[in-house]
Amino acid sequence: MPFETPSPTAKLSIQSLSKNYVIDQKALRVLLNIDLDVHEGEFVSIVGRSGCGKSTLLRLVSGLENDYSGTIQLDGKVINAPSLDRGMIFQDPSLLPWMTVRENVAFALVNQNIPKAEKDKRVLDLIDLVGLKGFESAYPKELSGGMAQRAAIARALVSQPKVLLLDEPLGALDALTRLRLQNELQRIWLQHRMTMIMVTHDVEEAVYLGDRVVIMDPEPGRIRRIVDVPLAHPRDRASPVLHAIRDEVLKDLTNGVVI
Amino acid sequence: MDDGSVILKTRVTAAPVALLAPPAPERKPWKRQRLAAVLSPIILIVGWTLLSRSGWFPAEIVVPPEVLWTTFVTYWSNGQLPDHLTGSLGRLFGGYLIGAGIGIALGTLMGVSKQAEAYVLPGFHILRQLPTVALIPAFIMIFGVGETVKLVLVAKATALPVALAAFQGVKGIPRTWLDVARIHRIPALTQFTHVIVPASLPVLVQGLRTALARSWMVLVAAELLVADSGIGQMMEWGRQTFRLDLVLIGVVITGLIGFTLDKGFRALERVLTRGSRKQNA
Repeated sequence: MPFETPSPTAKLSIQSLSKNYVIDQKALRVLLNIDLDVHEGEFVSIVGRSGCGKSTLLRLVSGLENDYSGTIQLDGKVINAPSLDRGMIFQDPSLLPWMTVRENVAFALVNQNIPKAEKDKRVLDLIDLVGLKGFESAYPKELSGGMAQRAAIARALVSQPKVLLLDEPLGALDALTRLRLQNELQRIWLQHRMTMIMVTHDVEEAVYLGDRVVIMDPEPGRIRRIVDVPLAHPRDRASPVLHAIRDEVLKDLTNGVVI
Repeated sequence: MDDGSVILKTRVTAAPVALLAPPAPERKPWKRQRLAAVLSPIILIVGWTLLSRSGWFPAEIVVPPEVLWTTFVTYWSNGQLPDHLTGSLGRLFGGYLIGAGIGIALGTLMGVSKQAEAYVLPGFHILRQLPTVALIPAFIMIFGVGETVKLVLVAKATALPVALAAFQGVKGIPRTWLDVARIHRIPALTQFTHVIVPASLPVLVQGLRTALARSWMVLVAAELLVADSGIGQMMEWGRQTFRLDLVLIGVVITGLIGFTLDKGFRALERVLTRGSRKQNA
């Protein structure tokens, strides 16, 4: 087991959350009255059409944006700035191109007050965990898209966050790599049981990984429905229950929309 | 271990080798290009020599190349030419360093602060439309005809393009790179030294190079008007005393220095941005 310390998990509570952007002096409602509780160690997927504010929701939970009304709390503490207990992964791996994989992962620990030896060990453990052993000294341009995203996952996990936020993390990958990384995410999540919230465009992915799937509506972004996926992990992709739920979510998403 | 890591491993080790040894067939056209580059100056010199020998023009107008060479040797050995050169290059580097410092500071400030951008950038865009040489009369009236006015002119010619390059360099940093730094609570100073500086460096260095070339031209132009030494002044003195040989030597040296500065800076640029180029290579 490369990752010895059990990751702490957390309960996230979102209540009547609304968010407006002001564009050309006109207020644009991005999120309206979002209520969502995410339990300890739960995997929640969020799907919805473009413009439903799902990425904004993640940015608010991450603390990257803090101008909102309503409340967002993690373990009872109000969120209004980034904190090391919330990690984030973007669609673009966003590795710094002048740093090696190892340096990129270690960069996440710059502000952590732990001994250097311990830092080095954690970095190598995480690189191992995401399957990049042997690529510690590679530069990002030498990695494939899937490998770069693995490095990004290692960087997000190395500071041992309680909550991991994933903003379309596999959206830019080819179909096969995507399936493999879905399994990897599931494996990592099962190993650490941290809370994960993932925004995705891929309904299949949302249903396969999520304990619950949140379906959002656009303009203004709001929750349309939350679908439970009552199946144990790791899951079987061929499961008829999974397919039935996927079809239902798809139907709900495309309801009233001409494709 | 999946998503094709085995294939990629070979690619990783293969990459440096491929960079060091370009495939053989590429060499020939490269050699031909070199030849073409040397050919045009040679043709120019030969044509010039033939023209001066033809007797169609007086030797004061079409100075024979050997006369140019003698003048060059004379002025070099009597110390006048080296004095002019050190005078010009001293001003160039002095003004350039001041201008680059101001440019980098202002440009970066505009890049990181929306407020600084709002206040300073419009002024920059207006100044940019104004050729530096157009400021020479005004600057002479303000700063006199001493060394200051030349330093100020070079600094001004440098600061503007450098500031704009620094600004664009910072503005062009992908948002998620900064998000990653914020998510991991990287202290502001480390964010600056480890993300903002290396990420904006390639654009900045390009701006620094353009600025150096531009400053050199501005300086020589300024020396034509206000100086008691320098390459520009040497040419102006040659004009007043009807010494076309002296003027032409000035022209050639000005060109050579501009060329050398640019080549030298390109070499420096390759070294400086080696790390950052890894992203697009």
